[in-house]
Amino acid sequence: MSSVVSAQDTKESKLRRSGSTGSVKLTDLRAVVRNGLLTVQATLENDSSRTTPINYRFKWLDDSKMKVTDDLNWNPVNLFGGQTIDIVGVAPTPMATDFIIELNGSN
Amino acid sequence: MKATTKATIIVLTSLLGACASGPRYGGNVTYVDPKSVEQTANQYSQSDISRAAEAMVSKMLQAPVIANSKEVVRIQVTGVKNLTSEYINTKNITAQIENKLIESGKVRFAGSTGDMQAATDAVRMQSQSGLYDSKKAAQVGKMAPAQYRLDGELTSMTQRGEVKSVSYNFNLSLFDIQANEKVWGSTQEIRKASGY
Repeated sequence: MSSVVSAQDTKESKLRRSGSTGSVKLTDLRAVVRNGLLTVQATLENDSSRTTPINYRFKWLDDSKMKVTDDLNWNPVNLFGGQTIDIVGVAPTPMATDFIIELNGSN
Repeated sequence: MKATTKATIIVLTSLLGACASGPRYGGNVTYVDPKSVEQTANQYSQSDISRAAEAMVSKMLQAPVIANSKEVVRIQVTGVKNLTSEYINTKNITAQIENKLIESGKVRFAGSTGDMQAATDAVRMQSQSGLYDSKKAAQVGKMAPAQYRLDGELTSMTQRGEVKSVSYNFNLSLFDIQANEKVWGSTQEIRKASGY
């Protein structure tokens, strides 16, 4: 994880879960400022052998942990059993210096 | 009947009538999160439009012509053609893309050709009517031209079988106006299936 995310932050602390997402693990998290915009890549792994439908979205925050944009749309994704995917978010404004990934189990 | 009693009945009757046409409560009406994933139909939905706009903005901000530019990039939107068989308001898509790109601080949009009459009327009013402070009034010949033109199209393909599957492709292209060269392009694909 780069310096844009505090070293004290654990990966799980950047995740806000709702619904049934227990089988989905956050295995890697990277954040860099690219061309003035915070860019985040999170690796999610489905620990279960069954296909798990989830929704995710990024929430962009400033230094004071205040939201800098309206809520974004939920993105649906079907994670096959054992599948690993990388989700990437680019902050829509340079004001964003921090983030939260919201994960929702749609079942 | 006294005149006051008649007047009271008329007022009460009209109040009751007004109530009957007011808001209704109960029934099956509920507010839905506009950011949620809509799965009510396999057609292009409002949430698909918003999601496609967000994805395109994210990709555009990483395009070298925008990401590497030291100045704010000026773009003119010519529009998104709807080449599907459905009615889809593509102005809604471009408006969402414009708003989100402006929010990034890296892009500005020149007024569209359709808005030019209103724009020139406003400039003429300020510069030629003699009503405004000439030091502050907009002057003819000072409009900032766009460097790039943004256009796109929305296409769809339907496969019918036991499962009906619809694929939507949303293409956006950015052209250098001076050189008439395509400098960036991206496709956002959405596939929906029903009948499992």
